Amino acid sequence: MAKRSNKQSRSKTNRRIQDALQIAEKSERYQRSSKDQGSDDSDTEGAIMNAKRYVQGDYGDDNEEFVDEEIDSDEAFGPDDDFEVFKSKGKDKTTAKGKGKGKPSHFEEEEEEDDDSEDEEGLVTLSQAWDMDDAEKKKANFSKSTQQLILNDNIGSGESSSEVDSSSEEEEEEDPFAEMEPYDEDEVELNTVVKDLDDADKNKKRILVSTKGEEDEYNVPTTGHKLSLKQMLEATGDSNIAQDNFLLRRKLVDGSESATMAVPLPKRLQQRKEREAAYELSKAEADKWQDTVKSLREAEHLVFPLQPQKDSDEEIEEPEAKELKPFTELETAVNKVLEASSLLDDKKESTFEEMATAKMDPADLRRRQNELRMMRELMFREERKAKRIKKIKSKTYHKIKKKERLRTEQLVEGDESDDEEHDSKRALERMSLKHKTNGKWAKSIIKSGMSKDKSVRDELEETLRQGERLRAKIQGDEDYSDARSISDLESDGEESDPELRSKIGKGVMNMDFMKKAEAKQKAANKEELERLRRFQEYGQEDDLDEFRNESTSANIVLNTGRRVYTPGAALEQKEIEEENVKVLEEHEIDNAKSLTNKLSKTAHRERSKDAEEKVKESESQNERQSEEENNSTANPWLTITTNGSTHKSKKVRVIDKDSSKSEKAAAKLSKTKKRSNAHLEEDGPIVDMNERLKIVDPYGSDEDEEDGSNVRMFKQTELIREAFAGDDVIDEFQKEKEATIKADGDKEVDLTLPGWGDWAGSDIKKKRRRKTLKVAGVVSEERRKDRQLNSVIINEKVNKKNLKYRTDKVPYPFETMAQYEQSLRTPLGQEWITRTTHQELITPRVIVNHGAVVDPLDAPFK
Amino acid sequence: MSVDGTRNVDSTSLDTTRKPKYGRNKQLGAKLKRYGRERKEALEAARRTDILLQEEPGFLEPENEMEKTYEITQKALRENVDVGTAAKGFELRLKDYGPYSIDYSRNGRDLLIVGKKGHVASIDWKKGQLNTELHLNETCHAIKALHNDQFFAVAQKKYTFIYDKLGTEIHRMKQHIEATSLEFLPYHFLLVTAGQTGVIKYQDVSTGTLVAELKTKMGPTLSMAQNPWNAVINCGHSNGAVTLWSPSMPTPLVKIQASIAPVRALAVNREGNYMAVASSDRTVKIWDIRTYKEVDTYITPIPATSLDISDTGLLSVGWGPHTTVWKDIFKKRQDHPYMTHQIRGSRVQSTKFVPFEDILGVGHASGFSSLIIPGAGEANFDAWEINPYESAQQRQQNEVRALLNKLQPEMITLDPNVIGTVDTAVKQKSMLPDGDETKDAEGEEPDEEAKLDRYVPDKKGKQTALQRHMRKKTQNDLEERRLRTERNLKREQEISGRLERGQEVQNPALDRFK
Repeated sequence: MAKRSNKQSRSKTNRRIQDALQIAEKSERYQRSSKDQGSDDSDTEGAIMNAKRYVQGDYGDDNEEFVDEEIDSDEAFGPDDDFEVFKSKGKDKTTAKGKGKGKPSHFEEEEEEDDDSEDEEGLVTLSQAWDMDDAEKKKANFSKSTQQLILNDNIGSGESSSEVDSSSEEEEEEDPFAEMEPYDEDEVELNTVVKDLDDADKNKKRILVSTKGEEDEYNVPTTGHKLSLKQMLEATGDSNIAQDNFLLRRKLVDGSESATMAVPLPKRLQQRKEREAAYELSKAEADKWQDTVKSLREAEHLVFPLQPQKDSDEEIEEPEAKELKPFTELETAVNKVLEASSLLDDKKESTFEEMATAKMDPADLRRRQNELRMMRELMFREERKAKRIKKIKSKTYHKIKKKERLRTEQLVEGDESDDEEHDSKRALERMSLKHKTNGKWAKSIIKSGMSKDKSVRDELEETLRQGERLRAKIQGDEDYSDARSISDLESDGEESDPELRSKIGKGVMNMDFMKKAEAKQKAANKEELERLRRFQEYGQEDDLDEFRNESTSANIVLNTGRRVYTPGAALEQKEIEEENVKVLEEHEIDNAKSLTNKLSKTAHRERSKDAEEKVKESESQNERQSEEENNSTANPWLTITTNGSTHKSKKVRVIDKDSSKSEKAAAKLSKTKKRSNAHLEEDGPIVDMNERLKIVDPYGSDEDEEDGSNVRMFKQTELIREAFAGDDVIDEFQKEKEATIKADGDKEVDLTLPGWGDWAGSDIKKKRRRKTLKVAGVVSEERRKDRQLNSVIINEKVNKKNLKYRTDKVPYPFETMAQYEQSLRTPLGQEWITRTTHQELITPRVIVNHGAVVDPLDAPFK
Repeated sequence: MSVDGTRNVDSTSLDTTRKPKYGRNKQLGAKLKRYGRERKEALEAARRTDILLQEEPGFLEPENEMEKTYEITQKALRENVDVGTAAKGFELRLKDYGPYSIDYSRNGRDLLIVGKKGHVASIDWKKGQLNTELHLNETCHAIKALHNDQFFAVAQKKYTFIYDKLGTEIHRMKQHIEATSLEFLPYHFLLVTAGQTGVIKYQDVSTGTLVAELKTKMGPTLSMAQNPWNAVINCGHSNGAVTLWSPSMPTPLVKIQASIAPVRALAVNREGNYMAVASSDRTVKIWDIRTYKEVDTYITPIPATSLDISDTGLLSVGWGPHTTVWKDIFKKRQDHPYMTHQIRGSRVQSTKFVPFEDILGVGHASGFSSLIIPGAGEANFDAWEINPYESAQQRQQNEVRALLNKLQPEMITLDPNVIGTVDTAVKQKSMLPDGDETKDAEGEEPDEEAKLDRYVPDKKGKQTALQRHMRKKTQNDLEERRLRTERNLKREQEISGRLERGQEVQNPALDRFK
């Protein structure tokens, strides 16, 4: 650009050749420069211009008056022009341009100093001139009288202002480069720039810019010496400032006053660097959120607002309580006292306590602790001793106790030893009703006069005796309890004698109305006592009468601890007594054996069971039992009957057990069983469809005792086989299955059309070609699910209608079928899982509390 | 059923030892981890709720070996149980219109009985209160309660009718002709009928549409039962076959030759594992319907006419005048029945366990008896599911909820767990010739002619604009423009290397004679 300016200035000088002063100056300057530097450019002469005149001609329009085409172009020269020039000329230009452009400021300054020394005032250095800046320029414009020496070419444009300072000039010059060059040429460009800068040092160019104008506040004439910062500082007279000054010091360090600044990076690179830095910063800022965002993203449920608003009460009250300060005088006083006595703080208190022990000698302390321990131990022992002594009772006490215990033992009749046994006995008693004669069995015996049999009679007798015993037991019990209660009452009466009462106190009890009430009560008590005594004297009859009259139900004792309320039981009891007498009379008369079987028919089942057990025991010796069991397992239907012949047979065995007949019967029974068992084992109960039907008829075997059971069985099976002989269902089924296998399997379809595409005639060779098509079926025979199952056909066809309820692909977020199915495995419905699980599973991911304001996330600064 | 909360939660799949592979997708990994955790928690929670199931089912237990539970008569039981239970064992003597088929409403509150001669009654049997009584004066075969106690269906002589609780006739379903057995799928709201016609019909009772008509082609259907686990209908036929049906398949899902004689009665247990089949050859067979294998065979002296399985797995068999109840029959072979009962002088027509009660209802020729079978009922009920003590409002709300949760008929499959899963099965190939499969039987190389003979399906959108233009142009006018387009077309085909069919395109009218 400097070069350009030179060019421009040269042209200008040509135009303004008349200006004598200027010529003189020029010549002078020329000489000077030639002196300073051996070689000289003729170009440089153009650097001088009459600023005054220049200014006089107004920038835009006035220029054109004395303008030729060069000026015109120069005036129009803007950043655009720059651009074009460089674009067209490329890199070669840059070196050339560098020559002109590279103009270190210090050199210039030197020159200017020189100039200044020779030229008079009115000249301002470039830097100074530019320091004045735009504002001054404007002023100058307005005034027009102002004379300025300003670097020639870019004067009109605002941007030119920066060019004066060499460093800034360079920077400015670089800009168009940076903007226009392609990205990949960065490095190259940077190198050339640096090189150019070096070159510039060598090819110094001296430009004298001088202004001869009137002196005013903006245009101070100097004596050619530049006013340096140092000088200005010195003028202040404060040496410290000068020393402190950063700029000055830097200069000192450098050694030279005007050390060059490092070449700044091209703007684009700079911007990139800036962007990077900015990105780093913003990234660091954003990274602070990362944890929060991650946690929120991973959260199963989000409930907005995220931070539940705290209760205002809590927040306010707590600090208040803490910071509670005494307000009144009294409060302060109390506080002081508390503080002084360390009562205000728990901590202080404890420390106070500790202090006491801390002061003590450790040995002392130990002794004291031991002492205390001993004391505690002794106290404890004493306490235990007292307790023990308190428990010890007198002889009489034990005597009474013993009596009581004996009494109770008597009541339970020593059966306490085994509670369970007792219970079972009782249950048995209840079930068999062995103590009563109003059971079905007993009644029937009594009625039919069957008690000639001794064993039966014995049994009956036993039952009666049992009943007697029980009754006696219960009655005894009642007597005892009655007696005791009366005596108790009496003793109560004795206790409450008036003297003793009067001693007690003079309180309310001594008042008149209380006494009266007491007397009244006493009288009532006496009466009651009398009544009870009477009852005891006249005893049972009265009691019974009373019961009979009063209620419809009577107390009948079945067993210890059990009562059954039945109407008219008392009457029955009488009857029983009568019956008993009768039976006892009768049962001595005769003891015939023949009736056992008859009796057995009506015997109670429970009883028979007991007997059965006995039978089993006896039979276990000779394996009969096992056979019987076999029998029962072989055919379950044998045992199902609840009534009838099977029970009968059991009973026969039971009753006859003692006699020799029993064994006979058992033998006979076992024989028949064995026989039936034999053919049961032959043909198992499971019927195979493909085999011949062999079914055992359990009822048939039961009915016919000894002869022809096998024949009958045969008939039965035959009959059934005949019944279903007509329909050969198995064969049909097999055929059907084969057909389905064939239909479902792969098929070959013959697509040949007979005669199609053939020619007729004698000498035509017949092409024998078959076109077939293999059609894939539903499933091949080997893959069928039912290939192992003879009597099953499983439909392998795809159910097209429910295909819509299935997916053909694994749905998106899942990668494998297993993953997808894992997601389906836990049922959601509350029919299958618990209520809480159900609610957890169906909770939406984001919940916004109704009416809550959802604030943006708080900055996560921890 | 939800009564046992964790049934559908598969415990075997919960192995924490094997670490799942998540690939690189972190989010998915986190998700899957969450699923695993949720599942574990759900199982744990379900396990903990077991303490809420306070009632325990109790069976009759013999005190010693010699004591047999089947020897205990109803009378003895009634004497020994508490008054409330004893009152539940009652008897209705209805000699005139028998034999009676029975059914209970889903919550066990209402008893429905129908006599062969047209006597229908709905009874709130716990209260002993008669809801309605009808004399239809025609043959009635079966009765079935619908989704709640408000409606019931009766299979009459020709049609099947729906009545409401008060006995008002709501619908005459004229499509359901001569039905003899009825079933109701409560989660699908489907009423299923089968009978003399040999056609199984599914009627949606919520929308009123006939969902499916499936022809069995095996003559009259003698018996029918539903599998409560997967809503598959099991039908018994006169040739001894049992077929399993879904409304979405026209052919049976499974056909089992269960016996050689007509199948008289069927029952499937609640878990859908076992099926009991009673046939005319006096057998009662137990089938495992997961593996389709016969487990066991029992023989009844008289062919059994009715089977039913209680919630606790008791099997009731009605044969002749007897009713026998078997316990643990699916676990192992039993030597003795659990309980027996005989109704003298009558024949058992149908037996039904009452839900949530230890009661077995028996409909027979001369009336109805209610038997006490300890341990028959599910001890704990889930009020979300079925509530025996529901109020009217609860019933209404349950009805709405059930309708909202209604399952579609197409969802009925053998394995209900496949719904929603990935379909891995190979799609059924159509029977259309594929072309690629063509090969010469002689092993000759397929020549040009054969190639041309190939069936090429019309494909739309393959034609270029020029082709379309050509096709639309009539063959007669030989204009210049047509010639030009023809030329262009040829060049186009040359470029795309599809010259082999160029001739045909030019002469498409004759193409079909090739």
